[in-house]
Amino acid sequence: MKCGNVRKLLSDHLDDELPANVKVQVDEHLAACPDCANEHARLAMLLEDLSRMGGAAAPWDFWPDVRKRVEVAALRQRLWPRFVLIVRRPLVAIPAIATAAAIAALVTWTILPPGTARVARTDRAYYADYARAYSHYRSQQLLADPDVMAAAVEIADSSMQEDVGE
Amino acid sequence: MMRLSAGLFTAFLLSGAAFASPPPPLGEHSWCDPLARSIAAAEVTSYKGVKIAQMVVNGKPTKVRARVYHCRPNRTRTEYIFPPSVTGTVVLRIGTNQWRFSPAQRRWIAESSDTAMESLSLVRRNYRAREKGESIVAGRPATIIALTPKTPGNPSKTLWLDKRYDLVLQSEWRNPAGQVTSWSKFVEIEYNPRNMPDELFEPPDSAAKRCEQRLNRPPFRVVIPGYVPEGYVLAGVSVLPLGHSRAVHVKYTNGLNTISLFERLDERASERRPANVPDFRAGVYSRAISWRHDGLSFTLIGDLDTDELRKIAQSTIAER
Repeated sequence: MKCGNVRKLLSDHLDDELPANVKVQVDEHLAACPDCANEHARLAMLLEDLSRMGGAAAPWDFWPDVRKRVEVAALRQRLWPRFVLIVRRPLVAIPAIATAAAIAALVTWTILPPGTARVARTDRAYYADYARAYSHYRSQQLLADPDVMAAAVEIADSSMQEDVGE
Repeated sequence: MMRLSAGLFTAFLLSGAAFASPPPPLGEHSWCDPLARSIAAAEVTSYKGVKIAQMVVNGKPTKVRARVYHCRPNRTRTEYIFPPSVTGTVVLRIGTNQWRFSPAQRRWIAESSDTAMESLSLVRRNYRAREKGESIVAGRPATIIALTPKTPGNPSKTLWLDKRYDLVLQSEWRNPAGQVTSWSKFVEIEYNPRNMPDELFEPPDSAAKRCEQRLNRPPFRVVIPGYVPEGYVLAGVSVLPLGHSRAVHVKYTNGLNTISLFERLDERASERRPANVPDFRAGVYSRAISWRHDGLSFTLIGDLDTDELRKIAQSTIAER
């Protein structure tokens, strides 16, 4: 086993979560490789320090909150350089934005009948609520798996929002 | 004494199942009835585990992975891990109350707190239960139970029950045509775990509870269909708040499968139109039809043949 592969498994090794055959391979590598053995010892000490610090239970919204923050940070990181490039070239950006806005307004005005977009969104919102209520009711039946129902509605909801552009 | 004798007799029948073909139906009201034990299992056993599931959403098979924590008798928390569109969603169920944390909206949403009509006798009236052998699920020995509908045109279900704890480890739904529409199974499970903090099951604050409280009075005269398929009974009518308006939810069940009819006032529904199938995208794993008629907008959802749904729809038009 190579050093790179072993280092990826060190955390699981310390948590005793590796399958027995993989654990044997990691142990053999650690016995023969001083660098990886040092890394293993460093990680073990770090975990030891953390466990000594004790810990409070995470709040109920900790996990979703972390996920949201990571998503927002990643989005900012991706979009910011492009935004800067555009802003630095106003002679290119301003006419391009103005043209795109004019085309979008023209298409909307000529192709869609008045009120179409609003009506479609409202209907879909109703249907999403119905699907959720149906699903919840169905999940209350005997021998039902509510986890399947809830997941199906979440996925349907998110694809609906993508379609509508919300 | 009579019950014990009956139970022993049923146990004797079941033990001989391996030699008979096909196996006999499972006994009703019997102390060895695995369905009854399975229904009660979660009330006496806590567990945590990882569950995977697959269902058809908008015509596409979609896989889901979730962490599930259950604290007996009736508190369950499900944290969705995969796919990315549901990552971060948490569903908390305490009895018949349910809250959902939406990562997109960054808030908890209280969902219906209606009491379901649960009846094993209704399941037995409409489904045949048979033991189909044994297998291993999440490293645990399980008994396979098949539930087939007595009336054609209904979905069927197969359950894998933990042999020791009676919990449903795996389940599979098939539509009336016999195709698998959804399945779920534990890939890891730990019974009565030591480290399951109580905070996991704390409901959100009272503000979140209040935000979607159900209103009880229907805002118009409710239309009850003149026809429903054999085996289904009216389980209840509730009012569902929808933004600034309200809909009525008319519910039917045959014990396992359900039919839901939603009705709401709609100013665009003044014309009389026949039942049709519009661009309904919420077809999660069931069929749905929608129509407008005489001032009301209707949506009917159920895992039934489309012809049956149309018959129900037509009967509401006749009733109106």
